Amino acid sequence: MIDKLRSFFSSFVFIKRTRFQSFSYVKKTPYPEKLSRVAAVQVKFQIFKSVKEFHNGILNIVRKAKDKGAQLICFPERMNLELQPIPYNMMSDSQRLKISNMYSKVFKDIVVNEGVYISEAQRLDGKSVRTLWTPEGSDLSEEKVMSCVGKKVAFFDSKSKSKEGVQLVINPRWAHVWINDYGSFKGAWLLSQQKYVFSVESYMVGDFSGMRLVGKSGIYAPIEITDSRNGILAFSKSETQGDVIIADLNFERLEKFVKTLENKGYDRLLLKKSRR
Amino acid sequence: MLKVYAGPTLISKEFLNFDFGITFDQAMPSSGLWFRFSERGVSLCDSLFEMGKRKWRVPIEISETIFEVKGIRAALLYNRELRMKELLEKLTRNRIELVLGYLKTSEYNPYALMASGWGCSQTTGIPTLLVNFIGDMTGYSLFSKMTGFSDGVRILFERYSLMNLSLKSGIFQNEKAKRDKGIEDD
Repeated sequence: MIDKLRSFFSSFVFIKRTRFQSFSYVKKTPYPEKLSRVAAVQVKFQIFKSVKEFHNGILNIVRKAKDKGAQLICFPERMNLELQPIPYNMMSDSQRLKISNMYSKVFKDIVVNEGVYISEAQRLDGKSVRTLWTPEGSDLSEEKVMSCVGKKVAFFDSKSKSKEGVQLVINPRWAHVWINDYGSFKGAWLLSQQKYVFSVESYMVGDFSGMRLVGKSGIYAPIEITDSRNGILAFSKSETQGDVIIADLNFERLEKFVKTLENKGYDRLLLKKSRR
Repeated sequence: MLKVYAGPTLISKEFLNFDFGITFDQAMPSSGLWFRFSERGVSLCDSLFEMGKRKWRVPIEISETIFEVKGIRAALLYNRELRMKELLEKLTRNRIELVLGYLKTSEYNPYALMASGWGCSQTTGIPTLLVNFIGDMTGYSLFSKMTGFSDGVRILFERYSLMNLSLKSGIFQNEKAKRDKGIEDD
């Protein structure tokens, strides 16, 4: 066990070197000047025994999305469970914390080298920790409404009150009870129809500790501004396989449409206390 | 079990013993309890006697949208209201058990029905009966909250249908009990 952990932590040297080298060069990749194309990554769950393997796995996906022109790449929930030098339930709290830090450094390293925005989510102490990384390597998720190349972005939160002016909502997902495609429409798709925003939803799929994870990732918009009038800009083909889906977001079209919906009468009604 | 007929009044004669009917027809049958939808609004009539109505305009009070019929509190919503999350959440705090919705579209689009009707049921947790008027045709749909066994689409754009709503059993009963016990109005 100790050997396993030692070799795991020593593999982290690779990342440190890569990062150091990346800072010593002039950046090859310019930062995105606008946000017009996003990617939803549907990850088929697998366990990586070393940071190097995990880094390469994530980098391959990011490059695939970047080659297709994506400026923002969204990963699903509980990505940190893929990085397990020893089974997760056998790790001590301090080991988990250390691995979590390494996990974050992998993403930080990749955004800096590749010049893209990445959203990812970890599961720590039973809570979801969502992060939006900038190409400079900073984490924007301290803010409830984040600015991503001038666009207002937020993570999905079904309980919270509406966040003013948000144009894009990111929803990292783990899995859901599968009946049919409707299950995948309950989150981000529905939010796009009710709040008139773009949304990106990424699922973790595959097998996890004997559990079958299913879900279809998608990139959505209000039905009124999609040519096919279905609110779907891109949708994963399979509910069990890994996939990278890409879609263009026309923020001008969205803003123009949202302006037609202004209705102050309802704002007044919703602020009122109702009588029994 | 609540039995609701939705469709043209003439065809309703084929069905017996429903609790109330919903129609887009302007001609009214001489007996029974009916919600009569039109492009201007909806009226609730009992044996030709008008018991209440709602015009399609922004309501001043939330109570304008709520009707009581056969011991059921139903909210009457139209078009954009069916997709207003805050309004739907406010209605659930007002002990609504059924949403009756009106949606006018230029063409048949199941995704528009989902966004308005199915989405309304997922947000409120209660059934939504939707009247979709598309010019020369009217279709009736019924949606409920998704469960482990059902996707929540019970009836999709039927010309007429007799619908059985189990408002007082299963998930609806639980939801109702929860609302009755704990959640206060605004």
